[in-house]
Formats: sequence, structure tokens, C-alpha cells
Amino acid sequence: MVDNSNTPEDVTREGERIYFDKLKDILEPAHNGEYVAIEVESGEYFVNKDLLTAIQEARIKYPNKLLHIVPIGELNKPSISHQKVNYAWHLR
Amino acid sequence: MHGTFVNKSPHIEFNIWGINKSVAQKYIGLIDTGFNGYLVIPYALAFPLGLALIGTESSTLADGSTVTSLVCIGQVELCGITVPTTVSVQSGNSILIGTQLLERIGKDLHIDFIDGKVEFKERPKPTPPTPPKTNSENPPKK
Repeated sequence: MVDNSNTPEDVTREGERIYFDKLKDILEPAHNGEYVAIEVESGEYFVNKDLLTAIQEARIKYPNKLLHIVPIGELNKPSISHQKVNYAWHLR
Repeated sequence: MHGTFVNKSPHIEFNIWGINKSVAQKYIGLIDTGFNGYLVIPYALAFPLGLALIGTESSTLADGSTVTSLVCIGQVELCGITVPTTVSVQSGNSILIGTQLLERIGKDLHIDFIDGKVEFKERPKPTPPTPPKTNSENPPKK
């Protein structure tokens, strides 16, 4: 059974944050055209040219966690509905 | 013949189900050679299938906008062959079959735009390399 402590919205928001803050510079352009499956609580990620294989490798280690998947090299900005909002009290 | 043309675009019929095959549904999807994933299905058609939710996916549309979809795992029976597949569940009403799913089927896909035929065919077996002929009767002249 899937651990539902994170909603799909939580997983998307955190997955996009991890991808843009940490993984984009590591994976692009060397892995462009491949897929990364991110387990958002640990931050661990699994890269494969085949989407299903990337998911299956992640599910072996995290069978009950929702994953966030990004096609490497194709994503230039977060999805609009999950963009991080910077309020004045977040600015340093 | 395994598929057909709808509005001059190649489509193919497949069965799909999630955890339990008893809820399998037969759908017809567009063969989208520009889509390098597995399968896209609209919400309304995905709910009856009992697919297993495994996460979310962010992807970029042709207009540059980013969309989020649910990602599930299921089974697809296509051309008599059953393979596991990811299913991207999105809004809209399109069923798209991507190139990674076609690759999993392991057969050659023939699309005849003239006669409007879509067929899977067995891949020709690779012929073993022929050994080089030895010419023992006529040895090379020294």
C-alpha cells in the first residue's frame, strides 16, 4: 500500500524543488533524453533511459513511496500550479 | 491487421488493466512517434482500470508550459503480447501510445499510409555471418 503521508501535490512540489535546486545541474546535459525518478523524502534519485526501468529501480528500494518523475533536459520551469511562492517573510 | 487510420492518423487497439485483469478495457490509441514515453490516458478512461498510482510527473508541452500528471503502472496487451507499462494520466481526451511501449512489444511496426494499414510483424531473424571460403584447391601464387 502506498504511504499517503504525502499527497501528489506535495510530491510534485518537493520533486520539482529537488530537481531544479540540486539535480538539474548534475544531470543536464549528460543525461538529456533520460528519466529521473525522485523519492522526495530521502532525495535519492534513479536515472535510466527507460521510464519504466527508472520507476522499477526506485520501487525496489521505496515500494510504498510516491515518486516524482522528470524527463531530463525537457523541463525548464516548474509547473505553474506548484510554483514556490516567495512571500516577503521568506526573503532573506 | 492490428490497427487502423482515424482522421489520417495511425491508431491501434489494445487492452489495458491495472491490478486485476478482470477490469480490463479495450481502447484505441494514437501511435505518436514524437512521444518517447509509454502511454497517455485521460482521467475519465483511467479510473475504471484499477491502475496502481506510483507518483507524479512534470513535463513540458509544445507551447512551453509545464504540466503535472499522475503516473501509474499497469499492464497492456497489444498484438497478443502483454507487457508492463507506465500510464501518464492527464486531462484532455487523447490516448497516446509512445515509442517506449512500442519498443517493449518487440516487433516491427509497419504503417502503410497508402492503403491505411497498421500492422505488427515479426522481426526478421538475423542471419549468422557466413564463414570465409577457403580456397584450398587454388592456393595463392607465390
